[in-house]
Amino acid sequence: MSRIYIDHAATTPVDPRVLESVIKCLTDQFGNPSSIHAFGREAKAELERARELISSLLNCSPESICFTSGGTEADNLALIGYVSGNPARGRHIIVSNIEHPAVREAASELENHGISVTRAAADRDGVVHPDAVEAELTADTCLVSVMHANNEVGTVNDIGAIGRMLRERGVAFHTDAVQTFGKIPIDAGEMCIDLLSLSSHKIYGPKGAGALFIRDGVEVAARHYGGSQERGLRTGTENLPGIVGLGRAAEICAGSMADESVRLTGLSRHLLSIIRDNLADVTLNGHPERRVPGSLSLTFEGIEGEALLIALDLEGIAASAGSACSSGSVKPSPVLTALGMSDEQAHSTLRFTLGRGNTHREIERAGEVIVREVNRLRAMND
Amino acid sequence: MKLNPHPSKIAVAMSGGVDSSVAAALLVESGHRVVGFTLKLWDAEDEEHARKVCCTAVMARDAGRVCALLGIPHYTLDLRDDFRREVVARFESEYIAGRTPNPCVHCNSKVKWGAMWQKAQALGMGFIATGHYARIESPAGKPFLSLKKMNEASRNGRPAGGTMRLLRGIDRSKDQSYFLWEIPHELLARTIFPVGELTKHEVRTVARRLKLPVADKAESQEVCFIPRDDYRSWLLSRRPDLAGGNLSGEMIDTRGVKLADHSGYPLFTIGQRKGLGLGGGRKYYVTAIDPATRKVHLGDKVDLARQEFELTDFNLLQDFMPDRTESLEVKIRYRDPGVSARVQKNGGDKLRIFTDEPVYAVTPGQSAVLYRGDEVVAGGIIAPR
Repeated sequence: MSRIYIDHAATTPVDPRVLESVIKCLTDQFGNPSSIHAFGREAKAELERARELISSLLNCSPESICFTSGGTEADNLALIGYVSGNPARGRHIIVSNIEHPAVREAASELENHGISVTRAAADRDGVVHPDAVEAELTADTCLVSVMHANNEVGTVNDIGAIGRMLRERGVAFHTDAVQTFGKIPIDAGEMCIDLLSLSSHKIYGPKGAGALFIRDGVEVAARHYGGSQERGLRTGTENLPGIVGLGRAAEICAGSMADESVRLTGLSRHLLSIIRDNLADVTLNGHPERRVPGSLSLTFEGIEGEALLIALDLEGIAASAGSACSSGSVKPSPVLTALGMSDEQAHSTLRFTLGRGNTHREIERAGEVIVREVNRLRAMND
Repeated sequence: MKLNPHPSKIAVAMSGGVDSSVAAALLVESGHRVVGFTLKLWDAEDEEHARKVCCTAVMARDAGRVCALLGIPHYTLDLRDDFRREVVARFESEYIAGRTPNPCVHCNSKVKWGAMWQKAQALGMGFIATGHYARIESPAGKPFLSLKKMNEASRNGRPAGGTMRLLRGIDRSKDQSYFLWEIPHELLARTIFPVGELTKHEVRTVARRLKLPVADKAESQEVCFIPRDDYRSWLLSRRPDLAGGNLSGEMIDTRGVKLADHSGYPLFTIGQRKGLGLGGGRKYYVTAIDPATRKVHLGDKVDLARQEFELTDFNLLQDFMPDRTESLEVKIRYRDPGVSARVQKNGGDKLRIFTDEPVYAVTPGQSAVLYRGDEVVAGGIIAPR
């Protein structure tokens, strides 16, 4: 049975071109980038090349890129590192109420240590409005974190508007761009972003690598000690194969962003229309237009999401319910709850995220199977 | 296992233990299409408890490893609500009613052959299998799953022709048929017990032959949701009224003389001799518990003997006439060797059991199971006197 993968928000397969560069790094460029000899220098050159590739996708300087083990570490470094590194700037932070667990729990951890945290509410479409953030600002606010796009429903925020508003107020702005980096244009300068998280394995790069953009002049306290890598901000010998993979993945995204965005938007619209043409009582969650290309969060009334996911998996179709990080627990997703869904609706919600490898044919088959399985599950529940 | 591969998929309840793992493995070896399900029933309190009894993460991990080895899909089903409602709440309320419950019986009928089976069916499974030591047979005496009968069962959505029988497992020392009496009869035709034909020793041998990672895993013997099998502490922690002494009362002897006070009648069970708090000297046994008066009755061993008792909430797995003519065997607890008995219907909703010899510590709330040879013909809950 052929398998169809439509869970790209959870992770992505490594692009063959990325794999090539990773293997080359593992075999030919094995030196420690901190060594002074030729092996080290060659490795260092690859590290810096990757750094440049990332920075050009953000329109920022390469020095502002700090490599990490992934998006979660970048989020933690941003929140906890910024607050610890700027004690004089205030002891209040604002995060949205629909952030990824990495941001959500880093904020809770700060709360345990005496930092006050306000959660600004997204609207029912998952949009976090600049006004909603502004309303929560106090004289003691030092940092705001609002994700660029939500991983569960796909809604994209106008982070430029938020960033500009915060820059005027002199409050630092972090955005978790794990779901948008490489997919939607981001200009760190123009959007007045101070800190930005990104991850390799969401853009067809290997797992275990990511980065935190830190605008020049912004102080972040290190959380790892033991060396001077990444300007002392994230010490330890660099995961060069991962980083090289991330760089190459970013490069490939840069070259295809516009076309891929159009293609994925078209494919997901097609999937949605197959589903809607054949099933009643299906709701698309999130903003109808401002979404990550290829992302569909759908609530199927009258079925259990868990059962549908299993049924689809038995047919070779991979999707998810809520975020991958929270699967295994069957509490309703706090994000879906924050968007106003009842527990029942949240439990009937699935996420389909299309990607580079999905073809029109695959989407047709996926749509067919989804329709068939939903009908069958609905019939059994009657 | 003399099974022919069947087009329908078989859902196996897998706890990560050796019995359910071997059950799945035998079905896969016979060429069936198998899907493993781990049931999330309860949240364990600590890792130590989690390792020994039911913690989903540990179970799912172990079952997942076995499924990966067997090359079959593995899913976790969250049945906590059903379990809480049908098993845990009932367990608690039975003790408060002065009875001693068998939670495993209701877990089987209401959760495994209930909620789990419903979900499995919704996912297109045709059969349910577990690692229980028990057997299912067709009246012809063969394991019912001849290819023809299985096809029939699956096509018609009805039990394959003839009445299916629930039997003890071959290994008498491991037989678990006692806990299965409440399974609705019509589901027997959809049930497979792959290890019922084997001894425990043979099961472990199969596990080692197949190099299953759980081959030497320790047995879990306790009630899965009670840490350290300490139901008293569990009850006390869940019922502040119990801890506060609202259910306390008197311990009295056969003449009605008060011997001592007790701190809560749910903490006692019929036949209990230890932990009565009476000091040395004469041996007393709990002979009855009266929740209305909160009295715990004590007596001698001879006062525990009975030859007649009633069952409520009974389930008939076979046609038989409860008219005292047939001599059957009754077990009043899991580890009971069983005594011969006759059965009579009493009103529409009770069975009256007459044992040929006295049985001791007939405990309201416990299951009594009736056998005709190896076959389970009926079961029910022992009623208070």
